[in-house]
Amino acid sequence: MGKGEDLTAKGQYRLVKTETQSGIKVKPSYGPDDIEGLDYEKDLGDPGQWPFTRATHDGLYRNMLWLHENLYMTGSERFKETWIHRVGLSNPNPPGYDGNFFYNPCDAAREAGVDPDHPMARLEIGCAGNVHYCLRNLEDDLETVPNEKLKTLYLCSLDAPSHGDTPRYAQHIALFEKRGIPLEEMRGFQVNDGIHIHIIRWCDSNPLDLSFRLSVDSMEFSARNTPRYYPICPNMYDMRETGIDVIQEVAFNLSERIAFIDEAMKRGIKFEQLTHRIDISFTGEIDFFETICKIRAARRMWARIAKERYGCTDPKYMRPPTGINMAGSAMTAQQPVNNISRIAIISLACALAGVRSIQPKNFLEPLPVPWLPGTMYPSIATQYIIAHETGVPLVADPLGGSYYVEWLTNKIEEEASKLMKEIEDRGGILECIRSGWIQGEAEKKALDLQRELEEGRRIQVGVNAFQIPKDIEVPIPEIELEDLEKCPGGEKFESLEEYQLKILKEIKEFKEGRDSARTREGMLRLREASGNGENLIRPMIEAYKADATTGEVMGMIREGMGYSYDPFNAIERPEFLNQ
Amino acid sequence: MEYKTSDEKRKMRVLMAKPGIDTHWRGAFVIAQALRDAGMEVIYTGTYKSPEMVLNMAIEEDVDVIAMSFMGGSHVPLSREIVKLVKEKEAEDICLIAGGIIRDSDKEVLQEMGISGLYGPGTPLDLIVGHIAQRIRRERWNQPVCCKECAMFSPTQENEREVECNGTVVSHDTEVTDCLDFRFS
Repeated sequence: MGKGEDLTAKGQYRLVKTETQSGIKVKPSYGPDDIEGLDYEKDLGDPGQWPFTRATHDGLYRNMLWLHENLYMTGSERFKETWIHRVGLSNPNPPGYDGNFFYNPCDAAREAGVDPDHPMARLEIGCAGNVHYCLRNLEDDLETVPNEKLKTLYLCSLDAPSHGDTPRYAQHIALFEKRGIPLEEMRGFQVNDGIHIHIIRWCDSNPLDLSFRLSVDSMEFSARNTPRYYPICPNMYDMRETGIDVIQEVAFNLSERIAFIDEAMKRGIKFEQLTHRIDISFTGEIDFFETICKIRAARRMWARIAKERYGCTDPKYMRPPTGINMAGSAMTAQQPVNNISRIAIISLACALAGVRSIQPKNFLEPLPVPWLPGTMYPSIATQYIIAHETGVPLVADPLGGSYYVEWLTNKIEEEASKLMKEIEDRGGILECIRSGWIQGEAEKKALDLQRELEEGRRIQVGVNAFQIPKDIEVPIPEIELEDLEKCPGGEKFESLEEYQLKILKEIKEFKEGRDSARTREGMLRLREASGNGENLIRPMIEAYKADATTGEVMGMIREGMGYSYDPFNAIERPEFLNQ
Repeated sequence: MEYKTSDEKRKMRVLMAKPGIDTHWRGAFVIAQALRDAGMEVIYTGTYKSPEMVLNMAIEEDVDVIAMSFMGGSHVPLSREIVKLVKEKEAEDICLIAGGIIRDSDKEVLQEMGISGLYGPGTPLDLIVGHIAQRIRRERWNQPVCCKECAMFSPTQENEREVECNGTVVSHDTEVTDCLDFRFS
């Protein structure tokens, strides 16, 4: 690695990098020759027309602006349990927040699919998400929300790919059933992507066949029972954050979609039943044109796959919505105020590309400070500035027809198609994971990205160039933990450890206080279903209703599939199961 | 210029650890490679390692340093556990270093436990390499160092009482510039 050279002098008047962020070589200008053969009907189509390169809908943002989904959380640290979701329910601030989303991000234990009292998890209770181990937690959270409101709530899990996702889907259903609300009314969205966690080796505590099966089980159950719920979403945000490039992002996404849909169709689900409810989910990266063009390319590629591979003829089902989660790695800890500019640039790219939703980052993203509603103001305001001041949303795909944009869209499609072909030739994405090939490809990129920065081949402002002199102060809002007290429902603890002890006590009481015969019955039924290859969502729902915990639910599924009870082999199955 | 923190006689050995169940591995993975590039021997624990497992690996591999990556917010309880185990297993001679997303107020807590470094996102890798090299030379090899340059570039000589850095002689009495200078923050 290099010496972390300061590139200020080098970058003052000249570009340091003359290719795109992902290393696509580009010329100084583009003209008609570069898009020779581009056929308007076949390759672009009007907005809302096949192949949806230009936009999914005619009129686009004149019909409805993009959604911006804002997640408030404390900087992966503490005290979030009691207030994080309530912000979504009851707090009208900041403006524009309509309180229609219920967020329920996992803490590390739930991501790994174990209980808070697991020896591996005890020290991480409540970190990076909230603590939920049983149905009762969810019931308590939503206790004050009347059924009428619950029906309109969007149940979200935006942030984490994990083994907490499928259990959460089962919990949501269990809650609706207990409240007597028809499942048709249930709305929500979750990542629940059992493939990509194994590509990026993230939250991969459970094996691929298990996590893939749970995702497909969710799809199947959702197609038949929860027609308004988005049960899975091949999620590229997390993957791109590990360093993969734009070509891999597009190719992995579409290859995953194919793997999921193929498997669901084997179970008798029709293409039209579900696929329009699987978002194309990308990261919003700082490379402006790459971001725009990958979204355009992916829409076109999917429309073609839907038609050619699946024989779909109804346009309605060939244009899944695009959701963007803004790249956290694009934000810098140095001069964090600059991140507001980055958020604006990325948001603008997404709006120009016609996405349906943006989850903007908080400009303090890389800093270990709480994400309070106040720190989200600039990100939210940015969305409204683009919407109402810039004039950008007036016209769908305003960049369509630009020589460069069309060339780059073509280029991304061409390269990503090649990579998809390679994945297919290697036996499909699941096989590529089993052989370890695809993980190796992703890891290589993580190193490349850092080397580029260290070796002075790329500038990140404030990081390796253009530092602000030490004597100039740039104001950064100081956020103290005390501010959390202002959050609705906030509860203060002296330390993280104190909070963790409280949770450990709670879960102990919960496990001792439940009707263990009933819990055992529910769990054993789940294990049997897992062994029989049945769809696991229904038995999971019943296990949760019988007061099983997430660790126990996952343990039963593991045992049914022939794995040990505990993914870390640190604990045995609960004693009462053996009675 | 290539770093050369080790030679055939003596290698700096580092355990790059991801304690706990947070799985954000990219930082640890990239830094492990940077340390290798600088000539150190690095053993990466992989994810899902309990404090106990980390300590056992460190002792088994006879490392000079345990470098821990904390991205999940659980650095205080995890570090407390690790420091406790270090004492129990009488491994106090191993240097503890950490980095990740760590609040300033928590940095003080970790520093009190003897954990240094505590670098965040955007830190140039040579600063991290230098800091680790410096601690190893001073604390493990009993060598005089004055700054990260001499920690990384002077040849290794066992129990050398004096080394030369930028033309001046450095001894154990020389004032040390720690690599804790957050140049870019």
